[in-house]
Amino acid sequence: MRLHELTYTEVRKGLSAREFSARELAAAVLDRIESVEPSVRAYLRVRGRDEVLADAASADRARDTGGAAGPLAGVPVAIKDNIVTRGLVTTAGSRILEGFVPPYDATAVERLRGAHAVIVGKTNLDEFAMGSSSENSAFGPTRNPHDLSRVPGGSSGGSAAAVAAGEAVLSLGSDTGGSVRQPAGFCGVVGVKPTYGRVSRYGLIAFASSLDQIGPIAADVEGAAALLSAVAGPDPRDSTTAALAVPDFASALDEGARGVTIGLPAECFGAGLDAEVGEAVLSAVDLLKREGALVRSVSLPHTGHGIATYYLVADAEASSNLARYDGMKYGRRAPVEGDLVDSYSATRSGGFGSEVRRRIMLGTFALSAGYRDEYYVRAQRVRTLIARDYARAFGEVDAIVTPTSPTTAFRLGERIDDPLAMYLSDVYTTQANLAGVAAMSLPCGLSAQGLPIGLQITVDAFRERDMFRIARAFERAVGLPRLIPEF
Amino acid sequence: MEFEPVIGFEVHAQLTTRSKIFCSSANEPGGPPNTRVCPVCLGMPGVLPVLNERAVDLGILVALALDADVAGRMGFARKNYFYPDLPKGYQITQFAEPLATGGHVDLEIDGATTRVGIRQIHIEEDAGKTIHAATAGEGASLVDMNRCGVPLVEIVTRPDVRSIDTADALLTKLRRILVFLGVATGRMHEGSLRFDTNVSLRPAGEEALGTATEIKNMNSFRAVRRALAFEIERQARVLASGGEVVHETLLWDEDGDRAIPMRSKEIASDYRYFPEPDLVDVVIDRERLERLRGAMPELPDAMRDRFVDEYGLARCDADVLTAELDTALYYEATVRELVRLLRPELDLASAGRVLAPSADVLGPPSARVDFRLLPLPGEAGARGEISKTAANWVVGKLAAWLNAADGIALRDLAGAAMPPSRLARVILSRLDGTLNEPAAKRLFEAAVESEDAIDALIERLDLAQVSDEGTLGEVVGAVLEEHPGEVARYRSGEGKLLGHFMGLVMKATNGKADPEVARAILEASLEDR
Repeated sequence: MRLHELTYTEVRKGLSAREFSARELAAAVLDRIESVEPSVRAYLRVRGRDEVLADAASADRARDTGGAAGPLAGVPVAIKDNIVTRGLVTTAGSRILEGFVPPYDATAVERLRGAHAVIVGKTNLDEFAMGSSSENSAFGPTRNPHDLSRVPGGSSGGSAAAVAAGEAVLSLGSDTGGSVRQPAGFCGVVGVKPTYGRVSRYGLIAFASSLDQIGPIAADVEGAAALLSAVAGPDPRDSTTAALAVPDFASALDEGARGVTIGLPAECFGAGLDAEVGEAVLSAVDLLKREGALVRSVSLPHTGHGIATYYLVADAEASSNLARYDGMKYGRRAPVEGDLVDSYSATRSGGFGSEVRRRIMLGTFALSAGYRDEYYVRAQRVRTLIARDYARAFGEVDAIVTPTSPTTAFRLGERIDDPLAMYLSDVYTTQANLAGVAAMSLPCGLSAQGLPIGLQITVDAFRERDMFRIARAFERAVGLPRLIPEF
Repeated sequence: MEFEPVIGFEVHAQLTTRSKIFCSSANEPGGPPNTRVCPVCLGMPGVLPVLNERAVDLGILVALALDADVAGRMGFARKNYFYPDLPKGYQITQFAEPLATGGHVDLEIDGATTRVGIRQIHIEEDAGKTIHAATAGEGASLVDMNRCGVPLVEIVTRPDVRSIDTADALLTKLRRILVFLGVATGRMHEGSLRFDTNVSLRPAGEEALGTATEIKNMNSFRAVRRALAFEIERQARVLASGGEVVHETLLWDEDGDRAIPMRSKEIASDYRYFPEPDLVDVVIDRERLERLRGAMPELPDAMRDRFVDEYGLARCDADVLTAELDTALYYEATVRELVRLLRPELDLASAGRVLAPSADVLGPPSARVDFRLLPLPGEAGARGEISKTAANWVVGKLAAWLNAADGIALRDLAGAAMPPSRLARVILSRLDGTLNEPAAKRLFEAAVESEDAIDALIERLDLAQVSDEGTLGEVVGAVLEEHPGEVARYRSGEGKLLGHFMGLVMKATNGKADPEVARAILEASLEDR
């Protein structure tokens, strides 16, 4: 048995039935990492073999002594490197945080440790999660495991690639405007952007505080649901988490799609959409219809303003969130002759990559006196309109189905010098963050070139249960084989 | 040309919460640098602020005390600027949705009431301290983050102040209100209360405002007076010579006794305020307001008026006693101890106020005994004698001793050498006639220095007053015997010599003679001869 090829569902069965131990599973995953990492580069740092195996052995012991082990006990999980891990270097893909060892865990990580999940390492990302290809990492790009000449998407490209390549069973990413869903779509795995406030942001290195959410990535819907269950729920350390108990997602998985109403927004099937992608999504809708879902059209009239609104809001917040990286307290400080301002300039110019600097400047501008009303304030108003679009639509349908991205994975370097083209990869994903609702991407087919195509299901805030139910119904009906890339 | 200054203030006071405003690090002044910190107040990557609701409660108390309108919903904003002692690169403050707006402070100056309007009251986090110390090395600076995240209330006044004296009265009053509320210590040498001011001049009688400058970094009343005097004079010189005042920010240099324009590099030209996305808005409902209104401690003016009513004190004594909360509480405790000594059978144990402002400002209000309702012995007037004598001691000898012992606070004295119960015993020895006035003063001085019981001190120092008529009659007889010349002059009309004889009697009794008895015997004896 090739343990690294197993989905979460298979892993869980195997561990429960004692077909293999967590230690054997971890060893298989570490071996796989060793063999494919030189090609994929999903990880920035893999923990020491001994440490990982010790954690896995301890999960085995918990299973042996405790009887009923939790759903994540012994499951190898990769963590995006903008989620802080106590004692493990955390850089957010930036030179400015090179060598930073956090003295605290993110709440999500703390919960994973408590659930006896086995943390494998920290995955690559676009610097500070700013990007859609993982090429903006200060430590080199990650490659799409299904085609090494292509990007894995971003910013959670490392987390998506790690699961797709069998280098982890599950992973955590973060999604500010599509950063979990788009790479999940590009890599042919399942990725979830939970409702804003569902998962604590404590310990998630902030990009845009009002949009960021930590989200799970898995090869199957059940894995994503299980990982979300483990990290979700109110956190006294994050005032923006909702005081709502986490519903039982697992029980939703067998409920089928019968009777749910799915909306198709015409705005997401127009110009710019790759024909192959559009066809795959529409045939997925047909399949859901055969599974008993009702399908109707809905309107999201402000969809066209999503990208502009998103980049103003996100970059405004980012310009403030990234002010703390001044070289005074932690991370990198540029050696410089001169005064304080010279030190700030040298540290930040040298420490941040060009995309991060571009966004800091854009966001600073959007908040500046004289421009604030025209840009930041106006963007907030449009954000409210987008949220209203969704509220109105969810008065009529249970879920909205769209493509995750307008295209399949593009080639490395193809868009890196064209920020606008890069930003357009998020054309269907930013709205869910702006509206604060939940959305996920799951594989719905392959392009003629054999590249995965992502289907996006969006539901109203705190209705993830409906989302998983529809996603699982589709997953079962379509019966796509798991693609395990070989190199 | 005569110019009228137009002055407004921003008053920052550190709030007396146990932990900081957005994390659980201790909110205490001092401590070795960078020890009262955690990832949150250090602004480490990924951390989030969580609001300390107690800071909101204390801010609401301030707003209620100043008659401000408390917002039904308030929110926080980020004020963005770079400085090494601001670890996040922004300060979490309030901007568009402050805790309260409006309100006023009434000042009584020379019998007239002046009202200063309040524009806004909000809460925010303090920054750390940058220390440009020689110990840091040539040209280097050190940062202490202990103060990062200490909760502040900021009171922004309207530019209603027209003189330095009014400014002084305003700030003194605001400080008293904050201390009486128990929301701030008001200890200015610790930097717990700081002032910024806006000042402009206009020709007397004109309505239009002149260009204002801002002066920052004053943390004493004296500094405010000096800074205002400096800036008013400077602006007057500029205007009188036909120049224009430039809108700028000045930094008060305490040592140099001058205000220095800040370098433009040190001032962010644009703070890029926007709503703090890491915190949710706070809804302040009626129930919370009523709870806080109910928990509101007595304010200085109300306490002063009560001292006049309840203790029968002169207004000026009540003013002095209520100038500082510590003094007022000390006085009330002293009176209560006196009552306890005079009427040991009364149960006051559960009824008294504690000396220190309660550590739990918002705790349940403690019961208080109304002095007028106590069943005290003696005829009418005895009650007033107790309260007035106690007042005289606290305002007089105690205050004089503290003045002389520069640097010792009443709070410290009360906690150690002279708790109210001890002072009450000293006062009682005077009230019950055991000691005369000079002896009581000596007893007080001895009691501060010594740990001996009051009775033991009286005995050891042999202070007990001599009131016995027989004994004093003999002393008087001897004195008059020795001074026949003066006796003759007295009898021929030099009445003022009586004081001289009194002095001789006191000297002969080592100052212990009961002056009233001695005087009566002297007068009678001088008549006899």
